[in-house]
Amino acid sequence: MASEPQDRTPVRLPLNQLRRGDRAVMAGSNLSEEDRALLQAMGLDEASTFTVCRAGSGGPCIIQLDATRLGLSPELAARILTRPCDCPDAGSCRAPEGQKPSAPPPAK
Amino acid sequence: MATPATQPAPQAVPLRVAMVGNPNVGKTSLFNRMCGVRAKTANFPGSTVEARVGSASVGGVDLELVDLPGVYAVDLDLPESKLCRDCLAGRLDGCMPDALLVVIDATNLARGLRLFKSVASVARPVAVALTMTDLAQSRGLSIDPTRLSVALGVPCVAANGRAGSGIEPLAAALRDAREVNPQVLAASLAPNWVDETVNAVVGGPNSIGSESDKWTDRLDAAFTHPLLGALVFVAAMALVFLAIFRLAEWPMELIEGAAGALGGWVASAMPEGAISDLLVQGVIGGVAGTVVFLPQICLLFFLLALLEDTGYLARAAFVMDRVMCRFGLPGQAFVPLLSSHACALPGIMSARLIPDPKDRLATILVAPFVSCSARVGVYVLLVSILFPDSALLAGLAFAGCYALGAIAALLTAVLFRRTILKGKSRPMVLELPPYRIPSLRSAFLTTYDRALVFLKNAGSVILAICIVMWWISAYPKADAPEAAVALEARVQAVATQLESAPDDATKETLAAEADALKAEAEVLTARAQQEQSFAGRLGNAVEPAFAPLGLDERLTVAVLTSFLAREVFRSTITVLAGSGDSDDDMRVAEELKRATRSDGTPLFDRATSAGLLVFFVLAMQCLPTLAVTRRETGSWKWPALQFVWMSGVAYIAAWITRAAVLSLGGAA
Repeated sequence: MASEPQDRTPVRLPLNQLRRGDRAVMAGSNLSEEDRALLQAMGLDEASTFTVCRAGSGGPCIIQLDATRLGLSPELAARILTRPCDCPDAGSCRAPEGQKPSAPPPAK
Repeated sequence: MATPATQPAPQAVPLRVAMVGNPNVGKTSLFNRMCGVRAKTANFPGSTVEARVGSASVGGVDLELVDLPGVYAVDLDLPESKLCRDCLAGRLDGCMPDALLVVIDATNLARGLRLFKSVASVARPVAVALTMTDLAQSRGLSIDPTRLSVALGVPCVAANGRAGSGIEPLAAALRDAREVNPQVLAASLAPNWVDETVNAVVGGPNSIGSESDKWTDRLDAAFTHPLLGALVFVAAMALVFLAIFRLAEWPMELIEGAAGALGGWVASAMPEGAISDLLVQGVIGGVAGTVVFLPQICLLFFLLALLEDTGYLARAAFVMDRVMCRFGLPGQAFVPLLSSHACALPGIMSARLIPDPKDRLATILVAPFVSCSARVGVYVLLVSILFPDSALLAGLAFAGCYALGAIAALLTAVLFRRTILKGKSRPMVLELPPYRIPSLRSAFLTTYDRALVFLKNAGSVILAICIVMWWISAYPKADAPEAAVALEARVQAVATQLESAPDDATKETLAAEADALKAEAEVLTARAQQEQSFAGRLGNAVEPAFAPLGLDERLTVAVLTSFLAREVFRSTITVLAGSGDSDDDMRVAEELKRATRSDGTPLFDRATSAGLLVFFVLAMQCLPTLAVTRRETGSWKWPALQFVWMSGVAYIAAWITRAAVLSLGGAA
């Protein structure tokens, strides 16, 4: 995470662009209904806060969500929009250093 | 405990309880603890997933427990969720459960409560088992089951299947289970009900497990690393297979020895004839030929159960998904495919690790392409014939067989996933459970369950197939050929001379001559039997179909009989070619290399041998594998496809190989 916020406007990043140790809030998704329902049942829904344990870097990523660790495929992670944050209550949010927000690919 | 223990009232029938819970919450550990070996895997019509059913008598409460597959919600469009819905609605076997046991992980209360909410509306009495309370306590959490019981309006007890704690109170809670009251049902519809309930019981969802676990972080950093994780996985699997090959060796020999002794005893106790042959060769020989794989199956499932229980297997699937997804398979498919190197039977059975039905089916269909240990004998024979003087070329050819099998499996997987099994795969969302010390008891019970399933299959479908195959190979009985009769007469004559031999040296010479003549007579008789049997006649009839591969009628019969099991090829061809069978591979290979066809050309010319080797790498020649595929897929359609596809690919590849070698001047 960047040390100082550059812009206080909440931005949304695909989950696969977050880095290890980043903490973020799920802020939307471009998933099919089935995938959204599955993730929701697993505890990952809008407003869920999680920490990235292994960044995607083109491959699958791992997030810590409460007591659960979830491994997500790169395709799925690319469709999950997040709002990076510094604090557990998802307060001050900004883009990670050196990264620009981009839109996730459309759902198939 | 939420409900005080009361004196149990006598039960007329056991309380039928459906166990519902998220994956990895310790539900099956509770089931195993209560039922022990009094459980079996149940396949329900129309379902591709399984549940386990068992009976228990705990604290005076008789229970019939149904361990449903772990689900994140019962209303998802997934096979395991559908099975749960069907069970809760009484559609599985026509019986509604008397009560539901919702198993909730104390370290993940919010997710458990969401599941509770989704099943609360079922008009059935409910009780809650709170598991992982030890882990919650180690994370500084204190959850009071009584407060949770009050919040949910149903009995709630802390229980630990591994340690065996809380089992009797759990049985009492099930006896006292009650329907979720309308007030709780109404409250649970509120959007914040889960968070508020968690707050009331443990003080907020973010406090649960939010602290970083350094050990988990360190282990995950290694086990899920793209390169290091793959190396760890390969090393772990290598150890598993080394253990399987080494440790299974002596029980396999024991089974073979016991079957041989039993067959010998039955043969000596019964008069010679069809019934004796049926029992000894058909029933005992057939079942022993399949049951001999039981030690490998037990070891594989025991070790996989331990690995799964540690939490490692989920990490391995995560790492391998990166590789396997390129071939349309999930990361979990790597374990069944690797297991198939030992034997396709445990490989196919271990495909149960794969959650998506299409992914699982694709894995089952391609697993037999992988070179199993039964192929090794044929590879050794044909490679020795092909490259008798070059260990390097022989080694390369041997390695090439393994590579060809693996490539064929992966390419077939790509093809099937894009055609007959086309459709969206379940996206990889893997829960990585906490690392734990594995439970030996659970691993033993899982192994016991898998072994029972396998033995049941071996005793029914496989037995029937073996009897049919034995019958067409052994009947009709052929008379001994004239040459064999003449040889037997010479044996008698030599035996007479032996009785009056003047010295020991002459006796030894005559005894050796008698043995050689007798062996030759037996080979001639066996060859006549092979040729006259239904299988032999079939071989002669279909010989034109195999002629493009360079097979004459003897090789055709040997290939046909090897569809029972590949290892049969060697014994059949040594009989038909008139060479003696021996444990010495090189000697057998040399004798077969000298064998000729009716026109005087070599039986095993280079082009035919190369084509035959490719054929054996790719062809489906294992009836037990087809029977297990039928059992695992619930239909004969898939083993039929497996057989036709693999044999078709094998035929075409063998033809191409032979043509290529011939074009390079490799006829001799």
